[in-house]
Amino acid sequence: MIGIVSVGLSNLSSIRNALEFLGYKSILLEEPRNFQHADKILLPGVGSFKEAMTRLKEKELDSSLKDAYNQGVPVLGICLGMQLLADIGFEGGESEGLGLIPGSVSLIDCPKLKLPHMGWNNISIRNSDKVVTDSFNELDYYFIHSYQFHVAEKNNVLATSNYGQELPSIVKKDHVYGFQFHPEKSQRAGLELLKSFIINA
Amino acid sequence: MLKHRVISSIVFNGKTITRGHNFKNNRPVGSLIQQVKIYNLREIDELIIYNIDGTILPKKHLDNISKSCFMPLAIGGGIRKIEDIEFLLEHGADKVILNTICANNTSFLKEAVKCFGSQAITVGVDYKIHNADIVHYIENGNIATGKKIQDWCKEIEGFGAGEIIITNIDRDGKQLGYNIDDTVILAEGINIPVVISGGAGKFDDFSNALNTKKIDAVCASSFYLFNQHKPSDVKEHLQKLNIPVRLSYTL
Repeated sequence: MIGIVSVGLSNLSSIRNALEFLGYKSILLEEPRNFQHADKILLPGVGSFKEAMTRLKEKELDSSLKDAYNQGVPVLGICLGMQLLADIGFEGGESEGLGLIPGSVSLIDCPKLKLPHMGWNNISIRNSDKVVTDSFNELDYYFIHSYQFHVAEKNNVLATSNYGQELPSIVKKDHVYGFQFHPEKSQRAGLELLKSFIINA
Repeated sequence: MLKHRVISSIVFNGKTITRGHNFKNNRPVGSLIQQVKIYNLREIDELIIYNIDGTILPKKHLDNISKSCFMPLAIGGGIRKIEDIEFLLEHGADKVILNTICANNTSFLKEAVKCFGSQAITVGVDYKIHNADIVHYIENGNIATGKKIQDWCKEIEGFGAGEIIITNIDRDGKQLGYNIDDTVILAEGINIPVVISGGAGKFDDFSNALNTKKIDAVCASSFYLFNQHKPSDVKEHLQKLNIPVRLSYTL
């Protein structure tokens, strides 16, 4: 069963429909006791970094997520959900992240380009693995974000996408992954990658 | 590299999808869900649905759409309160398109951005040309606001919206070409993505708009509905001219 962390307002129906289309059942993880049913966990984004962390902490979902991760459950953060994996974020004020992948999150620094970074951009694979195989190299994915993950350890970056600079678009450490783009909105390329996470992570 | 988006819009009247011209004379041209499925299959970069019956798109349609739509979806029409936005985003929209409501009440726009983030809030700006002046209209093209439209576009950005869709009502449904010059005037100095809409009728319209470098994405409706053209035909044309677009691929 695929668990989807839910902290209220978010476009969860897209993720749920994508999973259903791929033939997987999902449950919403709205409180700590739900986590025992999930053998894979998806963490979608909602609102700002600070607001999302506040909501996760209010419901004690942050510690449930970390407990599940420590027990070996693969986790995938999507968009803001990927950024929440960092140690610290600066959107909506400074706040502590989940600390699963070393790094920090701040506004994309590209004075000459428009923000948000919105639209389809290709990913260039830097370190492939069993989930992010070379067959996904240079495919286009749908991005919509204004903040970027500054990854502290280079080997935690599996793929980058260029927007004025190389932005990390897929990060990974052990069995936690993060996609900066929306696989559930990236048509076949996205559905295949989501499926690869579920099968191979 | 970021690609230019090739977008299609669908106008829905609560029963069928419709097309007319100049925001009027809408006649039924097909089924909503069927058309969404076609655009998904044809891998359009993004889909816009305008609900023009005065209400927001109801749950039954949203649920059906999000089951067959694995691409970015923006929904506009009938939004009157913050809860409407929440409802649309919860049921499958990635972005909402605000128009009349925020032109009448700019604090609504600020509040929407605060609640849902810039990335979820697009603002539609509709205009007609009167004696070479660009005149801003709301209420589906029925009421001129008297706002200075260039200032309004800058205000929209200032209030934190994530994107602006600029539509020339005079050209809507005519397929005689975009009003590129006036769109460029409005897009000048805007630092959020700008989408051009209204009038696309031939392949050069798309490339000419994007070659201005002031316009980020191209939207069309009748062009796809009434011709044999597919979004991939437009993209192949753009690709030939070295304009970056997302092409189809095989996995």
